[in-house]
Amino acid sequence: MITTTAPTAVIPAQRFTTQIRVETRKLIDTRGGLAVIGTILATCLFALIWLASQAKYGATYHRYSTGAANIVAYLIPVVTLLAMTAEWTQRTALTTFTLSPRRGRVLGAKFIAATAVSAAVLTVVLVLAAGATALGGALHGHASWGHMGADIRSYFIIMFLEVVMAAAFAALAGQTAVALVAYFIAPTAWAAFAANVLGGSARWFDIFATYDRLASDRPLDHIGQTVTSIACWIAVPAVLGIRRSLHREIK
Amino acid sequence: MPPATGEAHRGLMITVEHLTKRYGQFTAVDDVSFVCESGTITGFLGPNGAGKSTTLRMVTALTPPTAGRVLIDGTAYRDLPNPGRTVGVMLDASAQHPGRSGAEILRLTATMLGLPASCVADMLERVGLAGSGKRLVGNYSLGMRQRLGIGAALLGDPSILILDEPANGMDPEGIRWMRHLLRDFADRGGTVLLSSHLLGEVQATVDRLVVIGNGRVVADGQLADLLASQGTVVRGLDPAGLAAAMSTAGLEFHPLDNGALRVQGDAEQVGRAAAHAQQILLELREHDSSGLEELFFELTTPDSTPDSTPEAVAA
Repeated sequence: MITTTAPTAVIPAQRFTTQIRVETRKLIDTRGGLAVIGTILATCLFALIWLASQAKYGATYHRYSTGAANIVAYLIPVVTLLAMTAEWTQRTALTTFTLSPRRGRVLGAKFIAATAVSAAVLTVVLVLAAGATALGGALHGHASWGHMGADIRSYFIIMFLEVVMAAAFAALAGQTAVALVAYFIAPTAWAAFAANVLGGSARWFDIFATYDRLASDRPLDHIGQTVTSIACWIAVPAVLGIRRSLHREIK
Repeated sequence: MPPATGEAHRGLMITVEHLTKRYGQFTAVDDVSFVCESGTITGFLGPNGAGKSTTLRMVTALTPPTAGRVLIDGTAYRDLPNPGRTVGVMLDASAQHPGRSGAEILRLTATMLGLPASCVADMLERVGLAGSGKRLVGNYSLGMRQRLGIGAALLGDPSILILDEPANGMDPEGIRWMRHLLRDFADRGGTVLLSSHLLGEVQATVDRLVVIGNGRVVADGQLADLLASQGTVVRGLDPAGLAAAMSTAGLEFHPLDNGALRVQGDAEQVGRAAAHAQQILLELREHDSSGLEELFFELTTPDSTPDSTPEAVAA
């Protein structure tokens, strides 16, 4: 006969910090994940070297970092889209959710991991931009560093908003290819539709204008437009996406 | 393969109660109840599409049931503090990211389980992948993925193992290895639930059987009992007279191709009935020809046609 050697109670509960660590590691432990990050960094590095080599632009941190940050802003949502969808596409969700059946915590850990990796990439790029500025200054005489604090603040705000929107889209799409297409096509398609059909009312749904406002010195301007556009592009997809992820069957 | 540890498991039970899963009109799993006890290997057997995988996904909280519940040691799976430390699960060995190495996959699992990274090398060794840990899983054979999946399931030193078709893609040596591993696991008080559609594999491995067909449990019991109920084969000089003798004795029987009868009863009962009617016997033996296979087909052949192919919906 078998004797009970240890009660279940001695098993410590899973820690959320551990889940964040695991989800972060999953973003950078495959060639696919590293390729996305590597592409962003390489593109930014190339752009910065080119900017620094051009005497006519002048070596200003504002110009250099804006150029690089725009590239980051365009590509960094891919990290989040992959973070939130890869498990469904690769079917590793089967393992992940048997080890962590509380799906909300897994989604939260993935979101935090995606935000952290995105912020790390942006930080590296901004450091590279500073290096390029110093280099440009050395080559062309004078480096200027004006607006540095305000610039950096707005880059991070926009990055965070994009990560949130990408996470919402990804949770709703639930599959990498669909999420990528939806995220990159939908706002453009919408802009074309809105400009031609809604006319002036379109600004109530313009999420990119909202990003720019929130990242500016006057984030509270046009607060009504900010709220409606965020509701449409972030809140609604997020609620639907989280609902779907929490209840969908994992196969 | 020697056991890696000699420690006893906590004796934990899996209790499946009235589990039902409907997809629209289609009922994939229909009021399934069974219990897996400590120290036993339960084979969850059925043809493709019978509802095995859907049931196992409901057991592990991946699929919300339409009705019913599953308790692991009295607790819902979802409420286990760190499920991998209590229940080792492998539902699909192929569901791994092909771009990760075997060692990396175990390492991620170890972190989730709160275990040191040092346990990864030991486990790779234990499942026979010591030389392949650094290779990407995309380059693994299916048999190697099964070994990796079993390794991941065992990593948290659980007391329960739930494996869906673990013998799939394994070579005979691998199947034998797994059989020893599961036997040892159960002998130390572990609880094993494993599904299969490979009858021979299950017959040699399990103590208990839960047979499922068209979403319903059609047999549940000790392997020996289920096989024993196959009855006795008897053949005589006068088949009609022998049949009459069995009827007279109140024994149920089915005629076989060669004029013999398969009788629901043991050899002594059949022999006495024949002797009483003065029938001359040419053959009297236990019905053993691939017993489980016959049982399997008998139990799972649909007498009513299912309204769709279940695996297409459930898999």
